[in-house]
Amino acid sequence: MTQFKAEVFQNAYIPQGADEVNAIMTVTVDGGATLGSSGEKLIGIVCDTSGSMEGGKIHAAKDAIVRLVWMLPQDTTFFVIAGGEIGELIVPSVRATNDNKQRAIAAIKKMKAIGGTCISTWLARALDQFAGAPGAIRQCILLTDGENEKQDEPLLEGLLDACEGQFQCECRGVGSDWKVEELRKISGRLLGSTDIITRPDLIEADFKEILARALSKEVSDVALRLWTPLGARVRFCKQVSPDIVDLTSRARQPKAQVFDYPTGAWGKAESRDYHFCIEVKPGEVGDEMLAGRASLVVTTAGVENKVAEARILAVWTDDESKSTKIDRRVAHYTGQAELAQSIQEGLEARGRGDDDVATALLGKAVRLAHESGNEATTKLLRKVVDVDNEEQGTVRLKRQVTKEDAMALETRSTKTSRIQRA
Amino acid sequence: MTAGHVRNLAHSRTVVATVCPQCSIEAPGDLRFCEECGTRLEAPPVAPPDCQKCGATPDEIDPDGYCMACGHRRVASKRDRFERPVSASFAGLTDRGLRHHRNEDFFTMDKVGDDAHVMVVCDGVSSTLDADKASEAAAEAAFRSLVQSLESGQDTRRTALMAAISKACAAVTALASSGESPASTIVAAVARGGFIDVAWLGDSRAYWIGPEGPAQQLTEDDSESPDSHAITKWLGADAPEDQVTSTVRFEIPGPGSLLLCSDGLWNYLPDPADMVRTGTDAVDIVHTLIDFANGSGGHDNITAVLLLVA
Repeated sequence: MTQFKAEVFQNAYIPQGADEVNAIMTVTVDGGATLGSSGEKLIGIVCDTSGSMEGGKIHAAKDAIVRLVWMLPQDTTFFVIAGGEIGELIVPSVRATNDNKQRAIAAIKKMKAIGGTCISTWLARALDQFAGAPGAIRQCILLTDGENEKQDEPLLEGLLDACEGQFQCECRGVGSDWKVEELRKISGRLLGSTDIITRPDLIEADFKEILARALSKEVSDVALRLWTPLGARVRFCKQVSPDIVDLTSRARQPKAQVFDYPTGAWGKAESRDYHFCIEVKPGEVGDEMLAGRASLVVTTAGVENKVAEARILAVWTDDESKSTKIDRRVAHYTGQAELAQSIQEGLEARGRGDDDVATALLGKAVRLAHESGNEATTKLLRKVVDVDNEEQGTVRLKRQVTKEDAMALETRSTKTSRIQRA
Repeated sequence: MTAGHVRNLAHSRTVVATVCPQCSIEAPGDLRFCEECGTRLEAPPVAPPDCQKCGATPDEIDPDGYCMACGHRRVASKRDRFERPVSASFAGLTDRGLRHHRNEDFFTMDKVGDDAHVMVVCDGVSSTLDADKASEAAAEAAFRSLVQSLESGQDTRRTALMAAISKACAAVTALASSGESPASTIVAAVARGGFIDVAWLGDSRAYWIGPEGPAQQLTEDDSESPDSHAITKWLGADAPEDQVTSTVRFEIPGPGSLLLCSDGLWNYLPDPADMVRTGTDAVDIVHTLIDFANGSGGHDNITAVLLLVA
């Protein structure tokens, strides 16, 4: 069985009258364990073949997909969908044998860039394929370069409802004519990430990385279960590392006082952090309360297995030296969330020409990234602003910023750093 | 007024059988009027909630003591388990047990002067609120009274014991408030000069354990029958008005042990002789006794006070 380890970090001491409990939970899969899934892996590849892909993009995409197919281990299953106005299943689910790969590659080479972009039809085809492999690790890769057709929006909304929990999807936008928000909506619901591929020749490297990550997954359909006491309310539940994903509204409630948040598939030696913020009824000084009991639940063939558990506590005290301390991890991730928000709002302000607000917010982001040692974000910020003083967050907006650099900052603003060892 | 009330001590924490004061017919605990003669019966006392915060039942408390309804943890108090290792031959220990949410037993003990050993064990009646306060108040009051009497040297031991029980009764009665009458058992003993004097109300016991043979029970339970936990005498505002405190004087025949205990122990160990004789240190022996009761289920609070007589 999968060896999950859950550990909670918090300062359980809160002052008299306080009603909010914060805790960071680190969940780690033991690297040495053999996991209990069926071992089946189904990889879906969905490639935009709309008219806008014409030229370098479709060629690069085809090359990348061909290489990706060659890289698939023999024991995986895969399918390919060509996405245009309607999704066309050009390679139905097959084992990745050499013969099947060759047949698939022939079909991929025939893909032509023509027509519009109706993502809902692509997802509908993919859902059909994934529905046939319920026990498998189910990973989809979606590549597009443009905006979804307006008339497809309501259909896409409905499709996302149907796809949720059925498979996971990594979304990649190539070039800068696509909408971050749009892909993020898809990847968010389908427990994947959204990222930009600035040039077609970078598609292959990115696909390789996605595939490696997908193949490392060993157990799917893991839920984060949170029990809370009567009268409590979950203010939020967020994944905060490796990136920020707000799961609060994603909860299912299997029974009273219990919420299940989807976390998708997990791979060997994977580690993620979660931030819980729970509102409780204030106790009296001296009271100790179990404010939450967080566990991981793996469902295999309809049977739930609780694989790790950790407690979130609240102890009311009148000792200020205890209650005024903020746990290092809680503080760190609270800062990372603020960093992501400053970037998003800063870029928004920049987009509408509000330079003063943009300068202030992006400057604050530079300071927060510096303080938390988030070097990757600092690097991306430096492509959008000139930094005069990192510690104080004094910056000037760059005059010349490529659309790709701004989009890279936007898509990656939710990537967090982990706490630096004290 | 409530002379016919029968207290149900262990195992049943909520059911209190009520005997009609007019016609002496026993009625189930939930009847408010006697079915025979229509006399109003006193409402049975309410069992204390098992979650101190929200009143959830014991099965909603997780093994670590957190309530699975409201999340609050039962506050572990010093009252739950404490010991008095007076010497290697005189020691006492009390424990909450495994099933009750608090310890409603209490004991007091000490050596007084050169040759007297004083010990009191009280078991609060679970079906009353503040049963823990009742047993503590009773044991403390009886102990203070006994020490005072012995140090003044004026009273005989029997009158000293009777005075102590009466002080204990006053202390428990003082805890009563509208509609609630906390109650407790008591067994008090003084060992001095070759004699042991014991006084008691209820079913907490005193045993003499000689070098061989079964233990000798010095007390007789004030209960309806030997198997019943419904006690007929107790300390408290609603104690039977005509109850008489039982006393016994026992001449120490030679080496042996005097054990005072609550029913949390004797329920599992009606004859403690073998277990008491396995040790030579009173501190070790009382631990062994409490561990045994917990190992057997720990359904009730457990108290043991032991004096080894050379």
